[in-house]
Amino acid sequence: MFGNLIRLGLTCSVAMAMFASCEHQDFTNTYEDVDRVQVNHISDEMAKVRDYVPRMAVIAHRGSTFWTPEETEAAYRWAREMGADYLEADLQCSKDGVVLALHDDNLSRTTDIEDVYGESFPTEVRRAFYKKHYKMTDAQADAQIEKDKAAFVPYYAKSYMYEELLALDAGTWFNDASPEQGRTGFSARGGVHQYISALADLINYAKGKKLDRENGTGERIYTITKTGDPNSYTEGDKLVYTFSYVNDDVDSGNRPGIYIEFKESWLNPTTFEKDVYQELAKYDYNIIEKPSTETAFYKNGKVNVGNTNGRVILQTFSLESLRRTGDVFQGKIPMCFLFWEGTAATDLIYDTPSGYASFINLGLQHKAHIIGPSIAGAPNNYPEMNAPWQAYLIKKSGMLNHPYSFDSREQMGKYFGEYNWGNEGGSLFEPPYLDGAFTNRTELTLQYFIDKGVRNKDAVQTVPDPRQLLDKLGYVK
Amino acid sequence: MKRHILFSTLVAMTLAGTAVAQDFDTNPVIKYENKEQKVKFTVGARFMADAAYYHTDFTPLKSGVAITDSRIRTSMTYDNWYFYADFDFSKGKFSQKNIFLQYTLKDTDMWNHSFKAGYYNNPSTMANNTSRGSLHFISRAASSNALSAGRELGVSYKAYNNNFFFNQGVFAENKYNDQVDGYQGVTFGGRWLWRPVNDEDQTFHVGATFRYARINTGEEDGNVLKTNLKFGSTMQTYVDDFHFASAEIPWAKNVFDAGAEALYRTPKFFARGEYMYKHVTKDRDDMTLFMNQLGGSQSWTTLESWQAGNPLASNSFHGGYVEMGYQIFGNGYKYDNGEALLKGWDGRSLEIVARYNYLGMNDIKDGEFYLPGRDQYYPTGEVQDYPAKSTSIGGGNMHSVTLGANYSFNKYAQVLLEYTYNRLDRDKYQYDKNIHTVQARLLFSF
Repeated sequence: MFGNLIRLGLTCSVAMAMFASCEHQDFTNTYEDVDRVQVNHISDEMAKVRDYVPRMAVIAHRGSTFWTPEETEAAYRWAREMGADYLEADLQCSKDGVVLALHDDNLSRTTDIEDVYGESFPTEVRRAFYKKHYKMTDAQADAQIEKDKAAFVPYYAKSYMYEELLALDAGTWFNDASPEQGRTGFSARGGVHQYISALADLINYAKGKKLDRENGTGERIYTITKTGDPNSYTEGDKLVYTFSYVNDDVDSGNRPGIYIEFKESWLNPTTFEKDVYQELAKYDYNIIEKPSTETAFYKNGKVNVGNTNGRVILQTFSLESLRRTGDVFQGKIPMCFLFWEGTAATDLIYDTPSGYASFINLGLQHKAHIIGPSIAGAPNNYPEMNAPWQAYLIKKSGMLNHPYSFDSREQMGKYFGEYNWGNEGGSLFEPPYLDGAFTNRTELTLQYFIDKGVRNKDAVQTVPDPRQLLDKLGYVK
Repeated sequence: MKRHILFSTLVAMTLAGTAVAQDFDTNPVIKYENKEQKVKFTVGARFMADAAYYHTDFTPLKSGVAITDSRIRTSMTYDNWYFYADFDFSKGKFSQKNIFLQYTLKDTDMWNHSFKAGYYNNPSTMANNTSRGSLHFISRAASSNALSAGRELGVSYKAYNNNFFFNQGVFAENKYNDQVDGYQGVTFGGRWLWRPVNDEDQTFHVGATFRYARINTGEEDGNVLKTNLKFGSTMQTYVDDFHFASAEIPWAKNVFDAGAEALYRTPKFFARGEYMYKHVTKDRDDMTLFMNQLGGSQSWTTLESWQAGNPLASNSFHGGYVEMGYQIFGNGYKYDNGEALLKGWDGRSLEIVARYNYLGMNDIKDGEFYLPGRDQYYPTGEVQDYPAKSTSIGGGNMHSVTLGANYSFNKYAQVLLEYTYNRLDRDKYQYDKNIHTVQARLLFSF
């Protein structure tokens, strides 16, 4: 019995000693896991397309959300003249197939649609539209209107013809929402009518143009030509809008690229990526159809990205659009896969090294060259998806990192590694944590890059005053 | 009052008796028998402390030591009536274990008939009816942990003789009726065995098990009762109970478990194994759910389109294990006729044991694409935004091999040593393939 007790005691002691001596405390360690997860690397062929994009690109998010009504002529003209490298826009589709540069799917925030149409179907306007542009009889128009009503969703851009959308004022709301930055010049009531932009508008703004407007009314000039037969009209029959532009008299010669986003796939036709492909080709902005030999991103102190093969960057949150864009554009135009943490259909749910790496790999699989993670900080307080370890994974893949969206110098300092994640050896991961920035404050981002010495030396090293520029552009206070 | 209860307990614990209760791993030391009143009372206890060291490829498990069993057990026998109750306090938490009443009709035409009512293991499993103290392994096989039923509240009838064993019962879904919503479902389970050889020298039994469960409890949301079935397994260990293999099945309604088992025993050797198959069908109030989603700009417009976008399909899982043991010295392996189970140790002994386990919880439709960042399967084989509802369950497939040695100092104290290698195949844990476990247990039971 005594011997058994000794044996039991010895056994227990050995077991306890063995486990007590396990000094390595094992737990989930993000900083170790980033080197243990599989991150694929961009191919040499894809890397060539990636390099169409300038480093430390300044991307004017919706033109400007701080100084101007977003995604309007005012916003894009301002961003171009400020010296942004890219004019950023969201793409949607009107009912008659015009590719729009428009962020919200519901128009009530950024237009006066509640006053113009309310929640009612615009029956009279639509009947006149069908009769005028499709040469329909009253009966044909009414029959078509009944079909349209069945799919009508109030305030959603896809429910309205582009001509109907052009009746909306996309500028006045901004003066109410941002009184300090508001200007009479942004409003159709006493200023310059700001429209819901088309992709064609965006391209022309980037080319140094502005809208051609009628003398007197100040309304934009365009024509519509019919392509469909009223007797065999089907959904998707497109009218052809021909917009008129003129050289912008304040154009200083900057030629930024455009950075265009495919929105959630269910908002647009399944052929939308192909439609955009054709639209870009139509305006000589599809480098697959018409590549450029120009390689200088900056010339004579002016932005020249719009004349290079980096003139267009595609982007999307949508997994389905990522796939379709990969299929249509074959990775031959730079493509950014945007990250958002959440539980919706396109979100990254598991923001761990493993989950994050899987999204990077998904982007590479579908021929993306850039990752666009959300960043934390006021005023938007987006989820943090560009922490140093996350930026490290992006860097490891050989892709570019374009975080969104910057509103303050503090944010720029943070992701440049200026503070506690700093460049004094305080982080495991080498800053900066970005290769470009979606910014709502183009002037701040440009100045920050200039101050840090990372703005290309061929680019202008001074930043215009944002208010004076708006005055110069004709948007009176 | 407290002092009185304590005193009564101490008196009971110091009284000696001779009765042997079948639910005790060991013959209880503390017994009280009143022959005039035909009453026997026993008290026992069991204690297990485990130490485990884990080595994983990616997701860490917490190595360490833990009290994994701390149980007080009591029984009372009166004539043909038998009452048993035990309670567990391990890990600092009270846990309801067995509590039942059994009535036995003995030696009726060589058959033994009994009726049992209370909370105890559903009869439809060999492994879960084997007490942990008699298991010869530190944990039951992962396939049993995941796929077999555990304790349920109900009634059962058992009949056996030397060559046959039949045990079947009807049970409730929830022992406390504390479900959020819904009335209780019902379970039927049974185990039917044939023992062509059954004597002192050797036993061989073979048979089948079956269990049907109707799930009626869940949580109401928008006039719809949402049922859910969760199951899974640890890495055959108790120190870290993380489930690398697990499944959650929404809308589960009918659960069909079918199995087969065999056991062979001699005094020096035993082999036993089970195969388990689980099929889960689902039920959902499509019309109400469809109605609930109407009214939004993104709403499905017809019931048929909603159903196409939210498919519902049954799922199936399976698994099994084979266990073997060889006693180097000791009093020999024994077989419990009344429970149709291998008994635990009995006195000083040394044995070596081995087990192979397979757990198949991946029910993944061919050609689907898996995205780890969303833990989501895509039915078309490529990513989609909406709809992208898969009916696949990626619960994980796992092969496990265990080698162990068990030494019993006497009939009360035992140490167990085990090494287990697990090979995991689960999309959710794509970097976890190899999981090694070294475990030891000190077990004391009286």
